[in-house]
Amino acid sequence: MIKVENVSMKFDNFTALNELSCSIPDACIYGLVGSNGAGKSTLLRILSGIYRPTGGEVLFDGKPVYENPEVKQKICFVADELYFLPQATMKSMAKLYSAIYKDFSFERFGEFSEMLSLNTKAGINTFSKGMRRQASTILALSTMPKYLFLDETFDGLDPVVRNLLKRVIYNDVIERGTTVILTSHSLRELEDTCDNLALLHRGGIVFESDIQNLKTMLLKIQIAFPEDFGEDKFDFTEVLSFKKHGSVATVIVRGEAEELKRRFSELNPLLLDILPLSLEEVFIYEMEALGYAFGELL
Amino acid sequence: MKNKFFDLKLYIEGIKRLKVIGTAFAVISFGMAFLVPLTYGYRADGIEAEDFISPLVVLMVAAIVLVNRVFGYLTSRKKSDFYHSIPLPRKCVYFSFMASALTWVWGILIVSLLIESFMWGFDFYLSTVLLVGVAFAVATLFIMAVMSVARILTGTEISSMALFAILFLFLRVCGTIAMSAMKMLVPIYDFEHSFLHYLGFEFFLPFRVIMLYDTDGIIPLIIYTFIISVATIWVGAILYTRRKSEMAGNNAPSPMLHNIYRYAISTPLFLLATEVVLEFLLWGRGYMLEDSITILACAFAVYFLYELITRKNIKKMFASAKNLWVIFLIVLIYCAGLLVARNQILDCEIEADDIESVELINNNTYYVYPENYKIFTVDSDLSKACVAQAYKASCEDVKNEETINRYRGVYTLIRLKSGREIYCWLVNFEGASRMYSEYISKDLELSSENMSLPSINKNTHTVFYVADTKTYDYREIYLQSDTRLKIMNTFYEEYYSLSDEQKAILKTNIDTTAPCVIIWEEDNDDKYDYAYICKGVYYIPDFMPETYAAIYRNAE
Repeated sequence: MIKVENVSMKFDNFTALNELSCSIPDACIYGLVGSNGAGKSTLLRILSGIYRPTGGEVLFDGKPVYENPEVKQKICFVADELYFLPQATMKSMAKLYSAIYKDFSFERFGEFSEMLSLNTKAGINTFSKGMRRQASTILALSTMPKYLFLDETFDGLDPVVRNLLKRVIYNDVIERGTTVILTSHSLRELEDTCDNLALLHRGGIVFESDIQNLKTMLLKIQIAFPEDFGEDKFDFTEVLSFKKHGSVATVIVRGEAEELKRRFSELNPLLLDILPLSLEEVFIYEMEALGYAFGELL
Repeated sequence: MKNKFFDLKLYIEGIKRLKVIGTAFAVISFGMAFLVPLTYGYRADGIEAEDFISPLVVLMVAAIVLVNRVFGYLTSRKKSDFYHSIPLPRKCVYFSFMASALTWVWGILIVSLLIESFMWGFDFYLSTVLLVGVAFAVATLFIMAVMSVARILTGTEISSMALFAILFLFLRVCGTIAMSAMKMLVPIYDFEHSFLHYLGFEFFLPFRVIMLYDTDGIIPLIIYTFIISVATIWVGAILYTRRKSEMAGNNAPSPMLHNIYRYAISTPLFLLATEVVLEFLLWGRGYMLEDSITILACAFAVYFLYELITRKNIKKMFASAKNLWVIFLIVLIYCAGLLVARNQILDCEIEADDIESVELINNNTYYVYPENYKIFTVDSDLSKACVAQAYKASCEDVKNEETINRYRGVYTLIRLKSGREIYCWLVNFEGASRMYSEYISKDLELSSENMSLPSINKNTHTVFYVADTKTYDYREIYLQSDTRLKIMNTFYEEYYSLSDEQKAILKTNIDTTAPCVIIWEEDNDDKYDYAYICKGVYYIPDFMPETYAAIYRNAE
């Protein structure tokens, strides 16, 4: 389990993280979403032991990560800006990784390279941006990490490769209990991947939840009655949004789906539709409820 | 694992990373090691330490370049992040990469020396090649240690090279400038025996190894440099452990350190300008004004250019002007320090009773090696009184800003009863050196051995010099062997007609304005040592008119 406690990070006068706290359970995929400068990459660098936080601490199963090779041996970080040795091939990079990470698996490396059709003997400088990202993800996965941190790794990958890599990551989480932290600007990117999601804004987590809960706890209901009605008709539940066009109202409510369906049916509406909410919509309504304008956050 | 200091795999990785540059330096060094002995040909006087140097000087550059290369990732954020994220203690990363660079440099050094030894036909003492090897190994170790620290404390190529220059040279340059300033302010004082001398380049192994023809005192210097290098590497390891990865791409870890680097890089020039300005103000030498302005302009240029190059922003360059007060404060403190030191030296009066003994040393003749200096220890009350009076008068001359000419003075070591030693030139009293000779001759025991001249044989060589009163330097007179023989005969005949007291005066004469005769003798006993030994140095006094005239006649 990763425990982040009141972590702050300052670069001269700029505060990148401000007393951020969160807990990331083992064997889950944790998504960090936020705009540029929100602090996602900084948090990942602190979690990787690259930066020493200016305040607070990060513990992996109770052990600090900074300058702790024992913990760092279990972590692999794929940064947004990738690094390869000059004139390196994937094979030579694999040798470098194997020199550094004692659990590096050449078998896994070969398997993934073949799966993604990457030539391990070709110079990486001849690779496209997407191929480099694949190469670095393969290298990271081959280190057999317990904690895998991917900073905007799926950005720029074509859908087929993206799905392949995601499948590999799911397998790792299921079979090896790997904990994966993903960052992205795009909620849609993380929607179908993550178990938990945190929204970062100005160096702090403004919202954190597990996705399944998030999606099932909010319901979008279209409802109509023969008589005129207002928001107060639904005072049996928490209404996050109420919009009425003519006689049809769209209501966003929080609560358990079956129970709410029953309560709304008891009102004998002319029309009752329960619509699925995208993660983005869930976020919009949750943020509005917290007093944020979603446009400012993403 | 936390205490792991070395990782073999990372070390091999470092070796591989340096293979292109390392091979290039190896080719240059090995090529020179092969070719230099070929071009020199046969060395009649044996192979000396200096004959091994040329191919090894390349290693000084290699040491800088290889360390820069192996720690090159510290200037790029993504590279730096990668190496800061790897699961090895940072000390281990630092030591492993340092060992890689060191292996290349020392490997090239050893192979180059072997090639040279082979090319020279092993015609030298083994100790010679060992001394050269160890001296260069330690000098390159020091360079690499300093370069690594400079790399760690900066995040760009330019700032790391600037900091390397500061760490490597600042103390030595400032020491040299301070000594030069003190020499100018107190020209009768010999600062070669003060602590300032030890801050000079002579006591700096990376420079000293380039001049290995003089190996005197080099072993303590090697030991000292080795200790400093090891300490610097240890400091480097600590700094590397504490280094922030986010520093990559930034000139310095903090704005304050950036300012300090800029001050340090421009301070030596400001100190030099201070010296020239002081010289102009004290001695009123007109050309110094132009020099002052030029050096000051250069100092300001370095200050602002460093800011412009590192920050790449003209506004920030101009903004840095507001911090110039720090430099002015440094210059002010330096200036005050110089003047206080000058006054302390000149105000220190010496009484005859304070003097334990006096040594009069002739070291004005370039061609005479130190072991052949004329050194007379005098301890009569008469001599002490004379020295005390001369010292006071010389100090007064400096205070009154009289032009001081060391070549007209007598180099003297005054040992005080307090244990203090003063090395100085006594410049002010009528006929100083002649009077000295007279006093000294009374102090010396006039034995027959003391009074004889060296015998002349087929191995004897003579050299004649005359003082050039315009340049205050010596000029050798090139003569045919028969002319030389004639002068020597005149000299010997005239000498043996002198009274004992006059002989003593001649032997002790240190009037460097007089013509000079130096007698050398060939010595073929030691195959590898100097083939000539100085047997005597004689300044011809005016009571030897025939020799005096014969030398001057042939000098024209």
